Order: sequence, then structure tokens, then C-alpha cells
Amino acid sequence: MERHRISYLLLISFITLIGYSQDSELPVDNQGAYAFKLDYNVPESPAFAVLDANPTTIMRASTPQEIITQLASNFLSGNEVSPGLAFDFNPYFAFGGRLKSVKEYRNSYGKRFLANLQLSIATINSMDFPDDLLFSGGLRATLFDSKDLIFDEELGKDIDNALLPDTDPGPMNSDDAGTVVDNPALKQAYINAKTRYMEKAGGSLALGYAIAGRARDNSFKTDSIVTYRHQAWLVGQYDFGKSGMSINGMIMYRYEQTPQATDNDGFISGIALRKYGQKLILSAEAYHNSITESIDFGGYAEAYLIPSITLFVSLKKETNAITGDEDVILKPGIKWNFSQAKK
Amino acid sequence: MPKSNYCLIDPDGGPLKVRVTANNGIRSGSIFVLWELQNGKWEKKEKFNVITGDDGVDEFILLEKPNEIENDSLAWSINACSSIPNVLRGEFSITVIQDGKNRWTKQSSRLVPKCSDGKQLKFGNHVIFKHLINDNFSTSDLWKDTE
Repeated sequence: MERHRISYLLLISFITLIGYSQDSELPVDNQGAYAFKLDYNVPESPAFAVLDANPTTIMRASTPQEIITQLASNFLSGNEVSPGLAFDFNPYFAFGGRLKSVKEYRNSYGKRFLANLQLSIATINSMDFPDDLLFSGGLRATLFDSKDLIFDEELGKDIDNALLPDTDPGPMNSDDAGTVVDNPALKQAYINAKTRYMEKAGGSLALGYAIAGRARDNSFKTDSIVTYRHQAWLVGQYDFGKSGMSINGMIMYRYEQTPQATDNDGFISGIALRKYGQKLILSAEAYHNSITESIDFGGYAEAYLIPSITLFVSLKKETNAITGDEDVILKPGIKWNFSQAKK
Repeated sequence: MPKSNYCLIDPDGGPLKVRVTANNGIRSGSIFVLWELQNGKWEKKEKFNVITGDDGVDEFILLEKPNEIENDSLAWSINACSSIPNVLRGEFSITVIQDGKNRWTKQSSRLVPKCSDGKQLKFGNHVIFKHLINDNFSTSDLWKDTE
């Protein structure tokens, strides 16, 4: 347990560092230090993907929503997979990148590409390597998303109307520090936008790369750290609109070194069907793994019943990458998405 | 009142244009009001709604002539939020422009909440207009006048 405390502490320290890189001055805030939020259709963490910590294999291709941290745990099942922590952030804005305006986001592919980059780091405990600490890093780029909310001009107009002040400023008005206040009209604008988003047909395409390493015997000495997996993938998604159905297709190249076999490589390719509801997402997937020479499949349900928390359960037929054993695994669990940005 | 709250303008110059900008895809809506002190009481003379929108910039021109605007107060109240998912901070500017010259600028870098959270940053301030004695006067000229 000690090594997990250390790795979580390292990750949390990094989260704080990234947060403060944009938060060097704090305005007066009457809303508390943190607000929590779970967004709709959040793509999976690339760093979790390379550790096989995501409950699904076929990933989403949609635009990332915001800085998120995922605490994934299968503690509900009590099985042998232990918790993992992933931190995803956008490197462009975190390290000082700027946009001129919404119009620049819409018109400049390069800026949009940078604004939607998703860099992630993660750590997890795995029974595949019980004596080692596993860690990973990944990068994900959205190549195209026809349903990107920033292109919703109606949402832009609704926000602008909601932001107009109700009262005139007095002649000696002086509130330079500012305060963060609730605006119910903004919430309504996003509720309407979400409905439009769900009913709109459209596609997206994303590219990712991730690397996983392990610190053998929990040692961070140079000769104890080895990489054991690389993977790169391309994923496409098409949403059918009003039916709430979505299809995802993915092809992934994976290279790995395991204690049993060195220099394993091959492709994982497959499709997933998803049904999006307001509070529940159901999905089924099937994929071929050329490394294990197997066809695997699974079902997955994700419930958004509590703010900032996703409850999920997946049932998968999997072939263990290390032992080659086939098994049907039930994985109930919890994902905690939280973002610090509401000051 | 800090000196930065005074805007020196040429009374014989052209009309005053006020430009508001917000970068990083931050959206803002604001109200600007021009107040005049008459018989010890502030009277509202002009009012403008300013929305920076998709372009991140908006501007308006004060109808009042510059030679009639001394000691008037231009006050504003701005609401802003971030519409780009990964943006937490943005730069705002308010500039008073006369005959193509920047007469006064106020810039600030601010943390802004996400529009999608139903929250906005509310801030505001004001500036008092003063007439320039001479557009080209220097400190040495001023000392000569004093002597």
C-alpha cells in the first residue's frame, strides 16, 4: 500500500503544480475552492488505456471536455484489480498557450488541435506485475469533431445574452477584484446545448499514443525502471443523432514486453455500439487481438446518478496478455472525475 | 482615487471610442454608463451594451463631445465566463481611443469560471475624463510656466 500512497502523492503534487500554472492569482470567490462536475461523453484517459485500466477497450473519439482526474476503482467487486489514478490535462493552455478568440478556435485548425490535446499520466496496481509499480503517460489528439460544442453558434448567443448584467453600474463603481456568482441562465443555455448535441448526427476522429512502464520491486533507480508497453491508436466515432446511438471503430498497434515473452506486437481492432441516455450510457464491443490471437467482447453500463461520480459495470470476455488464459470478468466500479477550475 | 482612474483626453479632438477585448475564447457581456455630475447629483447620460462574443472584441463611440465630457465618469460592469473547456484564465482590456491614439488602457489577467458550470465572474470599475492642457507639453515646459 505504501508505494500507492507515494505514487498518488506524486500525481496529486503534479495536479497541484499544473493547476497553479494557470492560477497564480486568486480572485475573490464566494463559491468555495473547488467545484465538481461530470461531463457528457468524456473520452477515456490515454494513460489508463495503455494500462488496460479502462473498463472498455474501444475508445471514444470525441473532443475532451476539460481537465479531469479519474480515480478508478473496482472495489465494489472486491476482485484483484486495484485502484488507479489518472490525471488528464491540456498541455497547450497549462503551459501558457493562448487563443485570440472563439473565432480563432473555429477558423484555425492548428489552434483547435492544440486546444484539444490531452496529455495524461496514470498509475495503477496490477496483478500482472504484483511486485512492481506501474505508471504510464499518453497523448491524445482530436483530429476532427463535427459535434464540437464550440461550433454551436446558438450556444454562443445564449451565453452572450445570459452574461449581460441586469443592473447599471454606478458612477463610482469599483469592484476590480470581482466575484464569481451563479447565473441560472448559463446553466439553461448548456442544458439546451446538450439536448442539441445529443440529437445531432456527426462524427469525430482521434489519434493517441501511450507508453507504460514499471518500477521493478518498487524501486525508482534507473536500472529498475523499464518500459513494457507502447501503443498507438486511431479511433473514429459516428453519432446517429436522435436515436442516441453511436458507433466507434478503433485500430491500435501495441508492442509489449512481458516476463513470458519479449517483443510481442500486433493489432487490436474492433467496434463498439453505444446508446447515450441522459443518465445512463450502455455499450457493447467486440474486438480482435492479434497478439493473443483471440476475439474478445464485452458489455458496459455507465450511470451518472451522483454529481462527479460515474458508476460503471462491465462484463468482458478477456484473454490475459501474460498467461493467455481466457476468462469472463465482471467489473463493477467507480470513476471519480473532478476538475479544479471553478475559482 | 488612483491616478489610473483618470483618462486624459483632447477637448478639441475627435469622438471617444471605447474598445473592450477578452481573449482565450472567454465570452463577456457588459454595460457601460456615462455619468455626469450636475448640481451635486450624478445623472446618467449614455448607456451601451457591450458583447465581445465570438471575436473577443467589441467597441462603441461616446456620443458626448470631448469638450463637454470633463469630470464625467464612465462606469462599467462586466460578466465573463470561459466557453473553451481547457481555459481557466484570460486577459481583458478596456481602451479609450481618440483620433487613433490610445488615451487610456486598463488590462487585467483573470481567472474565469466555466460557462458550463453556470457561473460567471462579475467585475467592474470606472474612469473619470480630464482634459489635456496640451497634447505635447513636457515636464520642462511645465517648470518654465511655473517660473
